[in-house]
Amino acid sequence: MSKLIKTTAAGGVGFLAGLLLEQGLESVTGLDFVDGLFAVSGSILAALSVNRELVKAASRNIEQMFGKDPLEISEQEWRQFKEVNPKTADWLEKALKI
Amino acid sequence: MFPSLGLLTGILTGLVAKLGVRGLDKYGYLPQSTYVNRALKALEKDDLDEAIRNYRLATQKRKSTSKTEIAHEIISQAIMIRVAKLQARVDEIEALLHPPILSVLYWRNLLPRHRNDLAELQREQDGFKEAIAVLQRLKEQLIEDA
Repeated sequence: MSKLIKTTAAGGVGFLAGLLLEQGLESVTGLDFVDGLFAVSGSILAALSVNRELVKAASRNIEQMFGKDPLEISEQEWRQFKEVNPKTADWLEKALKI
Repeated sequence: MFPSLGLLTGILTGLVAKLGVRGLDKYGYLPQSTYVNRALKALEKDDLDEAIRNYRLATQKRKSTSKTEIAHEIISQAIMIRVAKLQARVDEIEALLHPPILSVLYWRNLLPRHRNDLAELQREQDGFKEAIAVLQRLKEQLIEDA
């Protein structure tokens, strides 16, 4: 029983000491250590969603250019967009299978 | 009294990961798509400086790909749309400030009570012209980076 109490007490002291050390290091360095690990996963997620962002950004441009939803633009307006943004238009045609 | 080894290892791993990612991020070593994504997100928030900064990071260490080329076009187009909108407003104000001599507006503008309004419009127009110049510079920067 006393062994259990000793182990629990040592664990608790160790935890508190570690917490203090982490807080101290964070306040000195201004770094959030846990955030470091999330940053890696965040970068990977961002890399994966780039195609969706490209489509969104291109459609925002179309919307601002013609003042209407990209789905509502005419053939002539699409050609006009394609003339100014050939690579984006080609990519959109392939991505959206137009 | 010392913290457990597991906790210290955890802290050290976090610290190394944080510093590592920060360093890689700063010098453009993260995946290119990450920077392209960030540039597009910044564009969505109307932050052109941040969009261009991230575009540069995307192309700094790696060759241009179709994604960076498309991002380049999208950012350029977004700049040109803003320039066009500002230019339309500049032209609108110009028509108010300098109407044809045979128009009623021309003679109305000569009245002293309109002086303040005209000065205000002039300031607004100057602001728009300055914004256009800034946007043109950003576009030139982008062309240089391509």
